[in-house]
Amino acid sequence: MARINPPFKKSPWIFHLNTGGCNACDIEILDALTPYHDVERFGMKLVGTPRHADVILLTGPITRESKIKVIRTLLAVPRPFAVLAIGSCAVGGGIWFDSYATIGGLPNLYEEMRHKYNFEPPPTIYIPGCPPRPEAIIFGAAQALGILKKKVKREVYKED
Amino acid sequence: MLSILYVILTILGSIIGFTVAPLVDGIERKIRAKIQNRIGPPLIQTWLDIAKLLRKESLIPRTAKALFIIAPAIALAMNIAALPLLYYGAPNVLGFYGDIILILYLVVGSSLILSLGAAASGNPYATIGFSRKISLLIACELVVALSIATAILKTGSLSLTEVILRTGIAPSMIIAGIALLIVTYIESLRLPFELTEAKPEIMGGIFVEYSGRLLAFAELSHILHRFVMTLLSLDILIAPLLKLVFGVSIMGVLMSFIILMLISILVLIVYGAIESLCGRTRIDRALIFTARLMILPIISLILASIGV
Ligand code: SF4
Repeated sequence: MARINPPFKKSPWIFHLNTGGCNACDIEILDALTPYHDVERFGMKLVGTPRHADVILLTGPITRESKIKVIRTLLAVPRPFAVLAIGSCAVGGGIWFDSYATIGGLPNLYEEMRHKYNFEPPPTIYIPGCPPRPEAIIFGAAQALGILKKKVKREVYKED
Repeated sequence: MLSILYVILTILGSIIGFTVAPLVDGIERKIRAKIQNRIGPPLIQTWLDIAKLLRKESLIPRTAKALFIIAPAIALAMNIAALPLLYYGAPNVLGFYGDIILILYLVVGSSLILSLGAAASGNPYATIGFSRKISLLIACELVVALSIATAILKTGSLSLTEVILRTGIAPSMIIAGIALLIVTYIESLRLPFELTEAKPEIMGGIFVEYSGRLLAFAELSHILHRFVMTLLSLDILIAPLLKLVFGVSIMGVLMSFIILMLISILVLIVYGAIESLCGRTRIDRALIFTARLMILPIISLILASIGV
């Protein structure tokens, strides 16, 4: 998270990117944007174009049809930016993790983009759930911006 | 001695205008949040947004022309240049004969160059925003030009300060001022007329391809444009009255400076409150509304030509 600078923390503009999800995650995102949860108090604002975005809310398992559009969208975002992978689909493909029609989640896309487009993956927060609650989405966004501390550390399993 | 005070007040007014215009935007957002029963962003949110955008990378699309890159900076410079030419309750010593025409040029030019820059991005959404903005601009600027022509005709002077000092309470000037105030609302692209951005519809319209520093300049010049237009219409509408009441002594000038600043901020806040209660209209309806508004400056022009 070292690349996120302080002004960025105070005014994250979010862009909503569905990559072929079932729409339930998207409805939860819209729920998080309602006056009831009031994300504007953190300075968050929904923008209509990736050029203005600081945080990408990515839902869905990235279908083959949408892959090239998702890649072009991610390349159109000015740095620094963060990605929130929302829902089990975006985290790891969900129930479509091994389907021929999807590439099975955001990590696979990063892998491909790193090789093909020389794309350094931005800071990413994974929010599992099918769909996750709006509170979980706001919590993840706050973590991505460094407003809240992370509760879990990254652990890598090594065989002896 | 007095003229030094005049200069100081004008410069102070310009600086306050520059810093306060984004803050007023924050107050508007806060009011909108309160109306929707929310907490809302902090008051300095617009400055925070601009600070963030200045630190971000500016991407330039492959289809963009050079105008795309220089347009936001030119628009910002034009709006900043218009600030010290306005009337801040004190006779503007920095003004000159013909400055009212220059103000008109700067005001029209800044929104024109901003939309031209957007059109040079090559994005179809920006082109839609551009065509809407140009139609709206032609309708609006006709009203602005006719209202200012009224002021010129009434007083026979081309300098804003002289126009204000020479008119007492004249019905023609009041009608022209009201027309300017209404057209300011339309031209500053507030919600029923927010057709050129229209986020859910054309994805930010003229701003669609701007990012980073270019977007910060474009936003700032857009916000400053609102302030300049509001102050210009208040100059025509109530500055003659203030001058009549307080005169141009030291105390009088200070009083009218403070009152003019407070009223312009109040007007911006009221605009923000109106905006939060509205939905977006269609471009043809907006044009018809603006065309109907044309009746006001025409009446004021007729009144001014018969000397009322
Ligand atoms: S995670 Fe669940 S709710 Fe979200 S898009 Fe996938 S299937 Fe739908």
